[in-house]
Amino acid sequence: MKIAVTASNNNGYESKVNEHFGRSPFFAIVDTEKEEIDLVKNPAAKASGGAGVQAAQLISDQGVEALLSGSVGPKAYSALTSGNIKMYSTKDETVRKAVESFENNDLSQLTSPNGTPRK
Amino acid sequence: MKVTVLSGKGGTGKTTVAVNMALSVPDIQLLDADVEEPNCQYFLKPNFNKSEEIYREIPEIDQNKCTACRKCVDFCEYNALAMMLDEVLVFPEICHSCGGCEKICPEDAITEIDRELGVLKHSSTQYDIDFWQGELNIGEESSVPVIEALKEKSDLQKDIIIDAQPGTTCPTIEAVVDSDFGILVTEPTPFGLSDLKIASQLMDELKIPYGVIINRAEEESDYIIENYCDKNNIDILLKIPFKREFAYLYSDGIPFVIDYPEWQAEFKKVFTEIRGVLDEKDYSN
Amino acid sequence: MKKITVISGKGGTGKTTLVSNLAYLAEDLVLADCDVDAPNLHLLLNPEVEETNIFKSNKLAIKDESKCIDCGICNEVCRFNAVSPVNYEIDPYKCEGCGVCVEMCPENALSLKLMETGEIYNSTTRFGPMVHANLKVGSDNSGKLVSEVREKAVEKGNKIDKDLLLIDGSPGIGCPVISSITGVDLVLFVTEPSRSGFSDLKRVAQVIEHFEIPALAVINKYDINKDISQEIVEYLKENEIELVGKISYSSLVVENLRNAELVVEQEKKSKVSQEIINIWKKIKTNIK
Repeated sequence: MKIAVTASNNNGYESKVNEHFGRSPFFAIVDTEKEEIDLVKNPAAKASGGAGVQAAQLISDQGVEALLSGSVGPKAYSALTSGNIKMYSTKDETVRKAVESFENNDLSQLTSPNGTPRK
Repeated sequence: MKVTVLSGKGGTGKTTVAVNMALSVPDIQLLDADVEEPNCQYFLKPNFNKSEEIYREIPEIDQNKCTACRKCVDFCEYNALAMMLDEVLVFPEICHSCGGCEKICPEDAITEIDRELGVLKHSSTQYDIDFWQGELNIGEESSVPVIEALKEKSDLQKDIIIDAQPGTTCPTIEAVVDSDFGILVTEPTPFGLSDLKIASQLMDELKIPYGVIINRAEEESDYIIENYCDKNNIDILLKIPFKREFAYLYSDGIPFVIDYPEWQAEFKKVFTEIRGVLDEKDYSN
Repeated sequence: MKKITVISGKGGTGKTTLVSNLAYLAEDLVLADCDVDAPNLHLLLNPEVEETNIFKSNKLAIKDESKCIDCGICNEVCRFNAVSPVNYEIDPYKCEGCGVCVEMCPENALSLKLMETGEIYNSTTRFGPMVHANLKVGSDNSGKLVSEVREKAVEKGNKIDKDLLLIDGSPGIGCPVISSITGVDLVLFVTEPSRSGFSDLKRVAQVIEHFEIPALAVINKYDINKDISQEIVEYLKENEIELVGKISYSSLVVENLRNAELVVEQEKKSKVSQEIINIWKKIKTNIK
């Protein structure tokens, strides 16, 4: 299964998990079966508006099924929900730890946005 | 004559000037164009008797016609559209209502529908001012269409005072852009001076004549503003002194000309002076 | 590092004055001025700019005159009245960079271009590093510049291992204020007892409410109108916002501001300084 993890820098599994989704500088796209990792730059990090929506589009186009992030805003939440992408909140420091926690079922699934206002 | 009251930042006394001036000049129309935080109402205590919703257009997708070609998603500069599992999603809050997606859709799958953006309210206040207020709905981002609609209420038979949003971004520009004159309100502190510089830069760029009113004026500090105005040939129209009673009246929502009617003459004088400046300018043109 | 953003809804309630006095009391911290429309913090803290970065975010339509055939389609399709009906010039203040004219121009004479919207500064003050910015007059504040300032300050603070980041937040209730509080540990409201100040406090609190961020409040110049101050106290209680102090009106504050000095530094023993010192103590217990 393919999952995406927000990343503050581009350092493979040791990349730092980024607290926020929309303007996260990178996404680590991890294939849990093949144990492959690919870091993609997030163009939405520089968007003047609608960053959450654009970022959701990007990871959906990558074919991921789950997202691990510190927080997810309301617009991104609704886009990801429509894209059948499950969201998990993580406080882990590195991508490696976050993926481990996910595989051990230690992360709780988000059932509402936790990053910006609920409208 | 159309006069807009503005300032580089909030809290300098813009609304105080707009309201007290409106109460000092006969047969005036007051437009509150600070649509994010319209505060004239706390001083005028209007009974709103008319209101009009302002709408903007947002896209609606006919999923039966949509072939998921994604042209609209790629076109949108604001990321207001996304394609998830072959379905186009619309995010109305970020949409700027440019109409581009509707125009470029090759399948005619997009139509535009109305969404409420804000409201205009009208009242003849107890003080007999023809008062219109624009209000942006919470959560909406673009004030400009509300301000445009508000300005359409201008009664050109009357003198008009507009209370603009503080700052120098689009909503402020929209409020002031077709005014005959701008009143920049400031206070004699380094903050006031810095904000005045920003506001006067804007007025210079827009080529609108303007003057300054110093609010909370104090003899020992007015030089901060006066030196700058002297150097740049900007007229100081009026000084409103710092008085604790004025601060109290403000806090309680009472325009100070009500309790200190002698100030009406001062505001009236400013208004006449502005008219003089403009007539002279017309004449020399 | 703990992050605190100070906001007010309405301008002129004393937000920046309080931030700079708290900076003095905190002694060692990182500062950010997210009031990018009318930045004032630098006037009191005299930062020395070490690095300036150009910030680009707004797109504008730009016309290639050599290709333009004056067909006027751009004017017809523009929803923002940004194209003059006379000479088809584009008004940079009105253009929102939507790209409709670019798409519809039969001669490909138009294109969207990223424009310079401001500058971001990495600076040093006597209390620690400070990140601030300057928005170009007439540019639209998208909140993006605010995010950038906040993020740069967080980055700086993490790098040199500071304990506290104090952010002078954006005014109003729109996108910039949300950008200035994203990801912080604590929000501090500075309000004043006036009808409009109270109303704006309620509006901004309504916007902030949805974030799970603890909020504290200070009533500045509380004795100007004690009745409204009391109403605010009750409102705060109902909304579970802790009141960490009231500051009395004092001409000392204005006098120091006029000279670009800090009242807690110059008049340590005054009543108003003691009030601010107590506020700082209460904030500290909230971020432990």
